[in-house]
Amino acid sequence: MKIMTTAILCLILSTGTQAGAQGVVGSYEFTVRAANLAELPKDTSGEFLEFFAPGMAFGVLGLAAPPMYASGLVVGGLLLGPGALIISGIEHGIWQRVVQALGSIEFERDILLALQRRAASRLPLREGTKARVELVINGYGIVGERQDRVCFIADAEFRLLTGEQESLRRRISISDADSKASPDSPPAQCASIGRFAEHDGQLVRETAAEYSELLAALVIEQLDDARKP
Amino acid sequence: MTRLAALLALMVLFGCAREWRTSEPVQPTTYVAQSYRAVSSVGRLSRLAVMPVRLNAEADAEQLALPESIAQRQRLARELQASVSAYLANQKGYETLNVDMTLPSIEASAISAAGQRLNVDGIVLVERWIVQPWSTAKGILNVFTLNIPLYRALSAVNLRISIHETMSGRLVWQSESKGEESDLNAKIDLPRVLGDLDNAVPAQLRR
Repeated sequence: MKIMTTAILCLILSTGTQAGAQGVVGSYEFTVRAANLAELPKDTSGEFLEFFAPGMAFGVLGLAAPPMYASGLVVGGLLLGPGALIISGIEHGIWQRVVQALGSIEFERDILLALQRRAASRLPLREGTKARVELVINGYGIVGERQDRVCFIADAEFRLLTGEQESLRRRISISDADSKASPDSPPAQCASIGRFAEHDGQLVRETAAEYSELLAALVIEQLDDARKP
Repeated sequence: MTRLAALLALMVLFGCAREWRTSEPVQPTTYVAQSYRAVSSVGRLSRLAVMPVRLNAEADAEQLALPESIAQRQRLARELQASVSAYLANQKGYETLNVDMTLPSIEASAISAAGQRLNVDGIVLVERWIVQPWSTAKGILNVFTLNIPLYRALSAVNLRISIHETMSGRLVWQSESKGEESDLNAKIDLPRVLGDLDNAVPAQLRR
């Protein structure tokens, strides 16, 4: 009877040890993919061209108008017509610089590198199973309707897979809308589109680089929390 | 050149916010971490102290000395300080500290000493100007002086927000809102003044 009890106890202990070894994550393999292309700001430069025709019409009307009204119409027309062309050209140049800067970003690659680098220091290798961390970028880029305020947003979701079993799934969102933003993420970088375009889109590239690190830091933090007993 | 002239004309006509940023390196004092920003990014100064607002109200000396006028100005100053602080924290991600102490001067050494004492990366100074509404006489004078007073009124500063870094005490960022303001209770368009400021380096990347 005593021998039988000891054998059952040994079996229970060994089963427990096996389950523990299986449950412990020793190392991580990261994959990152983007579900969508980068969000581009709206090109509103064409809207200014609507003032061109009325401006030219005022100018022409001024040539035929009585002297009392002529100067006002000509000057007004000259301000409105060429002014619309100039402002439209400037706006289009700004939009192009932002789009080019967004096009130069390798967001997926940067996040993957940041994840691997941060995991190497924060989640050291240990004995256990190899887990997969899949991060899907649902969206990133510059959004906003008004040219004086557009925001760089990023939305991603990651899941931790041990074998075929999903043990953790979290969404991380850096957004200007409070309802969409994750509680632990900082506010999105918002500014005028002109500010984003300065120095060939320096703020676009800097924000993307910082978001890559930030997303990686938030993922690693949650993996670290999940790993703690 | 034509574009610049057109922009200048528009700025004078409509009045707007004007922003200035340093191109020199900006250095935080409360943390050391790898930065993914340009060295001149003001966002590196993640912890800021917002000093009491300097409110310059144009009125008769007698009126300014009235207790209710003093109380109203103090209330407005406190509200503006709180609004600036909240905007910097909620929209730009800065850690802010509302401070009651007044600076002995705005010289670099005084700013640097105050910043170190408060354990912040930078000091935020807010100044507000309120003028008296135009009188009929001023309106008539404007007609006879070819709208010069009007243009001056449109380009007058009504709000200035400056950020100085603690490390050196020097000015690193400044933005102004243009256009004379005579209504003490007028709503201040802070996004227009602070909207283009870089976000603070997030706390997760300062560790």
